[in-house]
Amino acid sequence: MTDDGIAYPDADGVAHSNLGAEVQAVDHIHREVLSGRSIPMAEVHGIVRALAVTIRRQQGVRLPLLDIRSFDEYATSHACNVAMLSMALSDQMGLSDADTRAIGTAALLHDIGMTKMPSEVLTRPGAITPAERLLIETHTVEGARLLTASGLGNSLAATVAYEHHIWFNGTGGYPRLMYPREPHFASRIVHVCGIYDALRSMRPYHEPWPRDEALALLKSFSGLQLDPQLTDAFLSMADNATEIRQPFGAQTA
Amino acid sequence: MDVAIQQLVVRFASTLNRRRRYSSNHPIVVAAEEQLLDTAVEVLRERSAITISIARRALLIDGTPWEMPTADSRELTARLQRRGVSAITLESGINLVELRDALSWLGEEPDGSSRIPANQSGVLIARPLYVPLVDEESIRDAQTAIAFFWRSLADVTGKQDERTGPDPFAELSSEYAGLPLIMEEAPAGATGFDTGAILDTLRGALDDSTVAQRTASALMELTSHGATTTDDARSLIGDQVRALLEKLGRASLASLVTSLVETNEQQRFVMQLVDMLPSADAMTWLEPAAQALDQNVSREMMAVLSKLATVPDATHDLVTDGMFRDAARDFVQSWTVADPDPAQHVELLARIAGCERVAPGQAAPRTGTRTASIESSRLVQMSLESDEVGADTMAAVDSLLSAGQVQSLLQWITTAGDTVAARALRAIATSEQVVRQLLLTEPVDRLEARALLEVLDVSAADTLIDILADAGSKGTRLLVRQRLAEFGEAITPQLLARLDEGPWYLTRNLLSLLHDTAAQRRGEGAAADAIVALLGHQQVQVRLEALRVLVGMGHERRTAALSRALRDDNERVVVVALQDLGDSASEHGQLPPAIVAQIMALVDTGAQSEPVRARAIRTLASTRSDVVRDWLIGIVSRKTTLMRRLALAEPTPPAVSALHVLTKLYANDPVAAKVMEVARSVRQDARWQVRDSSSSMERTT
Repeated sequence: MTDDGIAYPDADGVAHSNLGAEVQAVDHIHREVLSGRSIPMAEVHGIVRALAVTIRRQQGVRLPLLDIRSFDEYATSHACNVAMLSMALSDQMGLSDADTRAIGTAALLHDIGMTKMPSEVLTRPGAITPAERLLIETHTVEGARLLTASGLGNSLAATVAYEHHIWFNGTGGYPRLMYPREPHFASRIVHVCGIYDALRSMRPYHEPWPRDEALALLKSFSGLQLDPQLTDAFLSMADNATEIRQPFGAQTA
Repeated sequence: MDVAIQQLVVRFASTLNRRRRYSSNHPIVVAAEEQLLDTAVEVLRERSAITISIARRALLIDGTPWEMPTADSRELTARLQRRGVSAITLESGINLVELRDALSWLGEEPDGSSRIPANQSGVLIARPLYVPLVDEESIRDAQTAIAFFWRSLADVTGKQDERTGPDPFAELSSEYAGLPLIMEEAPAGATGFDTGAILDTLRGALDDSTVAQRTASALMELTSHGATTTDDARSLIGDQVRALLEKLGRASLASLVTSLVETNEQQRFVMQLVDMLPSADAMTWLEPAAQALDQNVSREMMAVLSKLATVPDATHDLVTDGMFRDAARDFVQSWTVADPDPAQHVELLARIAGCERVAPGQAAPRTGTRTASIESSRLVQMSLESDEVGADTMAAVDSLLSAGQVQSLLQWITTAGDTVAARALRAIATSEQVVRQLLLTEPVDRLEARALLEVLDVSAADTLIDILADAGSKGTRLLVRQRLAEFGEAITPQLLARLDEGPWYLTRNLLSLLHDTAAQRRGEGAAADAIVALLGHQQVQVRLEALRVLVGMGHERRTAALSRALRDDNERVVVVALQDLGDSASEHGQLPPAIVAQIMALVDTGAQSEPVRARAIRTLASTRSDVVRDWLIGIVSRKTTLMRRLALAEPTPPAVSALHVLTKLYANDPVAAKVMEVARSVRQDARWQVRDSSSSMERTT
């Protein structure tokens, strides 16, 4: 384990947490949506089941996550990582396996609306402009629309895609709600995990945050943006499990 | 099945799972055990015990099969099977220690020597009574199924008479000879056929769709049997299927799949193969099956499935094996868009929302219909905010409507303004089905009903008229009638078109609406004829309403209607007609001669009561006529018996009214002078004062 709290996989870890098939499948899903085709839900469920098996085999002591080296890889690695983290957190919260996988599915698709955003805005180095921020914020609505329109059975995923940037008590964040309400429990789970992974990943406008600093920021958001109970549970999970970070694409070559 | 019991099964499975994955004192395990105990206590509040048992691969709760096989229930079944447990009974009064002991034992891997814990109060664990017998029976059943399968293939390939051994079916009674055997009748034993020769023939004959279809059916029969038997028996059948497919090859599989006509049959065929084969072999056949049906198979999907398929073989992990089979099933089911149960998706949202708790392990779930309603609201609100409507939104709308939340739904739709989603949802919320459901299901919520009625427009008139006919509640009929009246003359065609339909009270209400909407002024022609015809309706209430409508029409219609009403055998109708005639005469003067003659006849026949006859006479108070005058004098006066002098008649109501009219119209008429003279003598006689009895009677009717 490094000073940063990241464990790089040993032989056993690689065997158990090789995410190559899942990464390629997520990439395939994004390409399908970008091409205007419907979301291939069988693939989505397959990936989530595979990720669930991976988590099971880590027995709660390791969290296999992806590290990216390029902005282009962010969407795929973020989807996988947030799905993995959300399922681990759901497990921590005592949800059944089936419900945990449902949250994993929603987490895997929570940023699917980003496929509707101009790639030059997402990958251009440097800070984004206010106009670009407004545009990017619409990814939640776009994601919900994509999932809502994709047929029966995606209501949880659509809800999470829509609400994962709304503050836990419904008083802030985006999108603005016409009918004030608190975000769904699953949305709050994905919100916590999404922020954590975004901080820990390389973005056009920031380097990956060290693990402890990312956790500290989560703690500072607790009770404001983030659900305090879920944040506590996440911090507890982070204390008890070691992140196994694998460079994106390393195991798929 | 009761929600709490469902939760108990789910929690039992997940707690057992956690128990096996984490140390026994891990906070996740402790929290899960406490939750399980809470749920068990909740379930046992109204019963002394609950038994979770298994019968082959099926899970039973108190003897009732578990209707919703899920990963959790499958996992629990697998675990109980692995531990050789036939049933576990939780008793009222169970405590955490007893529960933990049971979970601990169930979570262990069997090593051949682990004895079942001594039964204690709280938890009873039972092994199958005849374990060896059950296993042998399953194996024998599987062998029978296989023998039956080969016999079917021998039939298909024309080799039924080419036996290599004794006929395993020979022991069946001759009366069954020639009839297709059902599985239960076939005896156990060897196939009795040269299976290699059958396969060789079959390989070359599968281009024939009939041969392919019969072979596919035989395979489905065999795999169906495998789906309900023990693991060992399933393996036996799985091996047989694998061997068969390997001999036949990929091209033959395509022939088999495509020989089935219906998509759901094709899917069932493939899913049964996947379920039956060892996971690695299932992967081998999944891809060609999909290709045979022109299904889109992504390389990435195959990679994920392959990953899942290869894990269990290495570790014999039943849960991971289940994950693969579930993923494969999802994949096959994605070949169609049909969804078996839309409502389950809203339930999923509600269930997970209900998992919110004060802290990990301390369950304080929001459960039940309230949560489901909240989550349905969330989906609908999100749909309106994002202006996108999907199938899940529709299911959520249905759920809200079933929960009687029309008012809220309509408020949200109104708030959203004129968007695509708002229009779509409004169309559902105001659909005929919803309107009928809300207004015809007692007890009707007045506020919800009002809210719905307010947003309905004239296009809903026919539906509302239906409800006017069908509603059992007077309050509902009043609400609906009020809304219809607000539509005004726009719905006159619908009102007229429905006059002859339905029960009498509907006709009456429609006439009443026609009257209130002043539609009668335009209701000439055929429409008016229809109303006139209703003057002959069996129900007096209908005749009264028809009369009210008709008297508002043109002179000719009006006169005809009044004339007919005067002939009505019901006094109330006559009185209404007289009232109208009286009012009209006061306003316009003379009544038509024909009507006057009819009134006089009405009085003369004496068929009506005295007050009605009095009322009839008073309608003539504006109609000056010698004939009427003489007729009135005849009513008021009489000749004395002895002196033949003119005297007043008895002061009956008709006579009093007649005198009143005479006094008003003919006081200075020489012909009436004598009578008027006599009448002066009774000026102070109270009996000759006009009482308003007829008017008051009229008002009360």
